[in-house]
Amino acid sequence: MEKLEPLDILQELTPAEKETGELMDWMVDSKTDEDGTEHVIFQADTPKEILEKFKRDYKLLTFKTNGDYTLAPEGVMNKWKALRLAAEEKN
Amino acid sequence: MDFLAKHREYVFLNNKNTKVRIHTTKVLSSDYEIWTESDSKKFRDAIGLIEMTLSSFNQDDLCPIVIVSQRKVGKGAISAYDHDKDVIFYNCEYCTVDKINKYLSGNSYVAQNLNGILKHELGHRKHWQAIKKFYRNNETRYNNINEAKNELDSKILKHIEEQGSGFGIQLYLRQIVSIYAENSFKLAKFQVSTNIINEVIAEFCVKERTQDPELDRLIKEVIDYGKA
Repeated sequence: MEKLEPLDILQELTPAEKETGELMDWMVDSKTDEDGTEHVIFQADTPKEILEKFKRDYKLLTFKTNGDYTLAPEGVMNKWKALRLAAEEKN
Repeated sequence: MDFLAKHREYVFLNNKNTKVRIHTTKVLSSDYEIWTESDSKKFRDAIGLIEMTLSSFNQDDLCPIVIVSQRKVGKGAISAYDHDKDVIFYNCEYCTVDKINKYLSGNSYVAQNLNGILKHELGHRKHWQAIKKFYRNNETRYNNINEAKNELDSKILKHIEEQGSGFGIQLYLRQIVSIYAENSFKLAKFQVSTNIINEVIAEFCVKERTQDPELDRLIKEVIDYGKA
């Protein structure tokens, strides 16, 4: 019998996958507990609705977290995001 | 459109991992190698849209494109690359610019239109062509193509894994490539672990450049393998 290899499929994202991606856009970093729980640090200017969504939907995220978060100092963002935004601005 | 003559059967695993069989006819009036399961309106619209988009591509980089029904390829599967048969499958549901925009809007994917979707699939093709070449050149060292693939992909995977814990990797891929790349990476870990970085590479091929020059260098090294 012919053995079939899996295809590389470009798949629509589910609304939950899109939402968690949007939440992650505002995350700067995290601190990991002894039991592996991530305490997320959000950008200082994260919109209120994103923070509320995180508190409500943190279980949708695929890393271990309990919905607790802190805010980073003003002006601090994830280094890769800062580079990405600078490049987008330049273009 | 001339749908006469030339028939071909394709068998593949769809997005539910179900084996499906389709019967297609070559679109003889097209300048490109396009095969279609049907000649109904959705299929004709998809063919027209693809033909228009392909005119901006280098013809040497193309492979056959097969237009399939959503029932066969699976709901939510926009397109797919079959490295075994070297063809792109395209879901006929995405047959208008509006329908494509509806799913690609926002910043979840690097692709923002059909041009981007095709670049993404051709990115998979470049990756698999490099893997096949690498395997042919080193056949005595590996038991199968997947072993060779793991070796060729290993530097990229190592670089991504060096970005931290699970959280760090997700944040890195989300920020530097796309939400889709990040999501596919974590899913592949549990599903087809051999293909863990495939979507990262395909997304890169649409983007062409990220803000991590080391990732760019490693991906280019892989997809350009064996090129003079």
